Amino acid sequence: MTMIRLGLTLMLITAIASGGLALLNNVTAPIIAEVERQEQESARNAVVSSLGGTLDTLSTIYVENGDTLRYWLVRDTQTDEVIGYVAMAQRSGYSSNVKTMCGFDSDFNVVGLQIVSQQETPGLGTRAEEPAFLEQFNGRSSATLDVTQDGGEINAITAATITSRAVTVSIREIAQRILTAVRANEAIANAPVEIAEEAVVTPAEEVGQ
Amino acid sequence: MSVASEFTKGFVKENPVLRLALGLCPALAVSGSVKNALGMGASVIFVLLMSNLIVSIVRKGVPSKIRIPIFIVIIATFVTIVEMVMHAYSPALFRSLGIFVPLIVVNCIILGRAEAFASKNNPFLSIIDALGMGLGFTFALVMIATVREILGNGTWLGIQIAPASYEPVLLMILAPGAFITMGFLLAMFNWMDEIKAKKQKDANVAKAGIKMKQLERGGN
Repeated sequence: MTMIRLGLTLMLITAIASGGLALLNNVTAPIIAEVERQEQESARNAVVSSLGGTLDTLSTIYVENGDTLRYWLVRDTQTDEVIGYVAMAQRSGYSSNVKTMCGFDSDFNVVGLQIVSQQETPGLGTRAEEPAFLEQFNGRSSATLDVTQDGGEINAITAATITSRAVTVSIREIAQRILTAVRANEAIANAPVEIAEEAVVTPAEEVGQ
Repeated sequence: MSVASEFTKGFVKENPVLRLALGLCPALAVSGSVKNALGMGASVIFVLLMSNLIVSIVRKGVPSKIRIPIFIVIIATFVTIVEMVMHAYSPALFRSLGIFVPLIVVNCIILGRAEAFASKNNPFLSIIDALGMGLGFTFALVMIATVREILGNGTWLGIQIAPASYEPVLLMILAPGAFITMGFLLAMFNWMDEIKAKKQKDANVAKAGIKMKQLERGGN
């Protein structure tokens, strides 16, 4: 009997607690989602600000071997020509997944970087967010990025080589993946006319029926 | 004990970190910068205040056999509130405190005060106790963080105070720096205690001496 009474007391307390938290979560969840969306959007805008074009509001999605790559195109404001790309690179560092928003010009040179999230060692790995580290990437070709320890030209943060390497390698990899995706999309766009016609005809037929 | 002494005991006499050696995990982990120390201190004050208050209110209805799980549920609820609110309204602080916000649940200061104080005292005294202990915790954290941030980064609350030529001592920012700083602070607190005890003793001896003289004079 006491067992049941104790159980019911605990159940009552946990029910009140979880009910309260559920209510609060209803309030904060949309705000948290909005905060994260804004953070990512401002990061996207910041990394391509030097290109001066406009960022596509919709992302391009490319699936390769089951891996989804999501990137944004930067277009010239007048000619609508693609002048750059933005994507989020990520790779595990010393103690967390380091996510970096990367901006590239059309030749895949780095034009801007911003660390979006990381939980590296405070005072060491977290210094990857500082301009002193990130600015040395600017203007460099993404294909040859490496830290000096691996024979590259990026000076790693003192006592945080693993974090520095994670950022550097993730940028190089995401650039390669975007390049693959862009080439694949171009191949589709330049595909034989037959396919293109089919794509146009199908909706028309549907309308007819 | 008076209300005032319930409040002030948390600072020096029963300082949770430096005297009771409770809550060392966050004290060591987030004391690398003063800003983080203040953020963690504020979170702990809130959780401590609310859990002490609720525990004190429900203390008569809680069966003693399951009081610990009930206290933990109460504490975890308020920690989750802090986590959600901080994530929504202060994302920068949330990012820098990271995993240590949810870990407030297992901060033994909070359960310790619920068990040792709030479950035996009225809500008013429990609030006073929570404020004193919470501020004492923050005070200790800020002290450790001040030493570590100045030596390890040359700054205090993000403001550059060491000359540019100063080469920061990396060790102080890393975990060992926290242990070293804490060791010295504990030694300092113990030393202060010893001096106080000695003074007390000297005063007692002096008093006794005067009494003896008075007696001697009386005898003459």
